[in-house]
Amino acid sequence: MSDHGAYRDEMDLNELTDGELELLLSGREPQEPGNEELAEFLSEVKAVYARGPAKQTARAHVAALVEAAGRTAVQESAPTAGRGPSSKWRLGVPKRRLALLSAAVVLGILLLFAGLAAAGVNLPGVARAPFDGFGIQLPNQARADSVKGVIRSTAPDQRDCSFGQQIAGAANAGRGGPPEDPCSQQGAHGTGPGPDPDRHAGRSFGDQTSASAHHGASHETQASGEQTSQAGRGSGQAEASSSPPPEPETPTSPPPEPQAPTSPPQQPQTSTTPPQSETGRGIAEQQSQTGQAVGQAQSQAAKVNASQASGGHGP
Amino acid sequence: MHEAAIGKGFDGVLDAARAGHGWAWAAIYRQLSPAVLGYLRALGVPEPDDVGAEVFLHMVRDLPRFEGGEGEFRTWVLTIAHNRLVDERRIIKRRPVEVIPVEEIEHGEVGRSAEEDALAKISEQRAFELLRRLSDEQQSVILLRVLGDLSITQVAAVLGRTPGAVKALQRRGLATLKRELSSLKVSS
Repeated sequence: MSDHGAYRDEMDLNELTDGELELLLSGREPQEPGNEELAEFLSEVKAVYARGPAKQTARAHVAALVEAAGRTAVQESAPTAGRGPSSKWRLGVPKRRLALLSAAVVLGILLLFAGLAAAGVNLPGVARAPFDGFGIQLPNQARADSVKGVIRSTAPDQRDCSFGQQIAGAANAGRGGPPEDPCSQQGAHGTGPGPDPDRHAGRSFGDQTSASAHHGASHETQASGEQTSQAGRGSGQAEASSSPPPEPETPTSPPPEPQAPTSPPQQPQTSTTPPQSETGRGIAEQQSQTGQAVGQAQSQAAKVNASQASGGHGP
Repeated sequence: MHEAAIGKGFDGVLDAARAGHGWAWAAIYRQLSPAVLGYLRALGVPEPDDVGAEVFLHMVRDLPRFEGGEGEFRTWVLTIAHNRLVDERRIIKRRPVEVIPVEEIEHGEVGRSAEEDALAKISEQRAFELLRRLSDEQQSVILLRVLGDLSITQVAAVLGRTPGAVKALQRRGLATLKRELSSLKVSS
């Protein structure tokens, strides 16, 4: 049979409807002619193969099925006897795992909060609540409620040094503060504990004046150098006469930063002054040199005074 | 196409079978064994009765999980049979065995006369040889349609193919059979 013949056979079958194919497969001849042999063969296949086993074999099979079904029915009807412990065990393992997982998650969250607190993060009250419940105090936590309470309980006109200390104590929340009452050390300076800031101020003034005198050559700079050096000298003398000997610095309070320079802003260089004439320029140069020399001398004197006032701490 | 279906009483029969009643299992076996054993025989499974018994025992074991009507039940049992057939083919490929024709074993066991046996043997031999001209899938489609009384959709479920693919396999298989029958007629 050629390929053309096979194709023709398939095309013949393609012309059959689904209903006619069903008839053909059930062994009945469809209306379309040319498929009689095929219908007969399919009917023959069914007749030859679609039969059960011999009677004895069928009896043995049915008996085996009934026995197997009885075993299956017994297993199905007795779930508590056979499956009780195993099902409990099967259910218990996931429950235990679930509990362990939950505990690990909670512990992880608590450790995370504790780590954040140790790193200096101020945690909200919700995050602190579990620790407070167990009496655990997290580090670096400002007590906003306590601070607010101190602020509310103190009238604005009564807020002095002790008020500040109360605020600090509430914010520190028992972490410890200065060993002594800082308010009792409030003396002539009125600036609280720590090294005397005026001493540093006098020294810094002197330094700044010296620097500006080195750079400045105009009359304005010269005048400002004189003024500031006098101010620094006066301040240093006042310090030397009024301040007690310096106390050792406490490690808890860092020394205050030197104050911002109060000298007038540095004026532009002399080259920027408009020349009027050569004579005028010469006079200006002489005056500038003279002023520079005077400024240097005065700044050195101010430095000496400042160093004496600071008790040897100066440069 | 379900000429020998249990019908409306199927659910009751299935419940009785689940409860272990012998009559219910006899009815189910009588209903399904020709299709199952015929399918295994036609596809050349050695010792089809033993393999068929394994199919039914598998059915008993998984019956508590079955849900559906008679059509689904028939499809499900033939799916078990087909999977068992695939397993058998795999075993035979690894360890070839000599296949003894079924008709030689069953000769005289079904109460037929010698003439009837001879005619049946000739018919079976001819059908067996003609079916071998088809591919494995075409054989399965044609046999599940003819012996199992399954629809295209049910055959597709058994074979794990789409209905369209089953239709194509069926058409090509029938065309091949028609061509072979024509060539046999010419040669004779």
